[in-house]
Amino acid sequence: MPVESIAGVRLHVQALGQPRRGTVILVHGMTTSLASFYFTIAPTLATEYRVIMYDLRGHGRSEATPSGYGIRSMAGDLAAIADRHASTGPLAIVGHSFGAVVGLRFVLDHPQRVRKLVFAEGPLPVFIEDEDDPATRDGIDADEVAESILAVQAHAVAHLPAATQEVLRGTGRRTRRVRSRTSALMKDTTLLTDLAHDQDIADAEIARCACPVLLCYGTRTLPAMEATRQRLAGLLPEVTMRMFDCGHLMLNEVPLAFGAAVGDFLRDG
Amino acid sequence: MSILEENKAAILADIAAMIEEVIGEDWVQETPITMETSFVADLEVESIELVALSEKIQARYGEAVDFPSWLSGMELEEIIALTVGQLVDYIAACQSSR
Repeated sequence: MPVESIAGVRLHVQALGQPRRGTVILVHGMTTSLASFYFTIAPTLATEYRVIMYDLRGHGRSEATPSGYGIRSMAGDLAAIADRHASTGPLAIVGHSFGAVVGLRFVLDHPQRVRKLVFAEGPLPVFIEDEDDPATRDGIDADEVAESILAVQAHAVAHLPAATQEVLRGTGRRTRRVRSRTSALMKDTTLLTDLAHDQDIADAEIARCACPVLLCYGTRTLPAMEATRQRLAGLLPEVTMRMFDCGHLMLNEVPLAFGAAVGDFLRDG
Repeated sequence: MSILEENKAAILADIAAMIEEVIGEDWVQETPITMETSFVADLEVESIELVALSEKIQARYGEAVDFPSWLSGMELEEIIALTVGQLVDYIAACQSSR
């Protein structure tokens, strides 16, 4: 514990709380880790639910497999986690950023399994094609995926106080390690090409989503996230929307408000 | 030293040893970990390392010390400014309120 072999991949899993009202699985975003939940919304949720968090493959303390980083593969990992840790009782999924997209794919693939989905600050498609660039007119390429990841990271901190930005950007051990891991993920795995080929979910599928969805977005988020919010709000059959005074890093900027909204949504009905 | 001070010194020694295990780099051992040491500015701790530290704290002190809940009540700026001493004081307070 807590690194487990799940469907042939070694994944870092953490659990908090007791399953009084079922299980909630939290799915983090790209280039972060389960720590983004562990010290924010997870402890409060754990007073009512069994809370399961895991590091996506290639992230945190999970194995960096050579391949398997597209939406479908990542949702397969989530399904394996659900089989192992939430095989009985009510199950809800909370995803942030890319993790929200993985959660939605899982919900669509297993409509009977999930009673509710929280989709926070998710981008769909995960990356935006540059219409002006002839090289990518027929689809996004790996370089554009890499640029998009870095652009989201930069935008996410741009409105924070200067001192906070300075610490988050940093130049020391932590920043060097985070950068070198992100760089290894992009260079040593097929993450970029996997996502270039599997980074969207068709409108018709989204429109068939069987469970209620809470859409959560920041008022200072990126245009691509705002476009996703409007797209999903128009397609999802049963949707509730909440806006928060923050950028993309909702979990770090407004953990209490976001956690309370998640708690209310999971409790209702 | 009072009993409380002795207890805090013991907790600080425990926590310092846990941090060194979690971070596992030579330079930490050359930099003494004190009550004033900052997790972010001095130790450059990654959040995923704090999860590993949390596991060790729970194994050592049990359910009485709820490190994730304690951190989850803090603003981003407070977490950035967090010192080892604040954690030691929190653990000592949990123990004395039992």
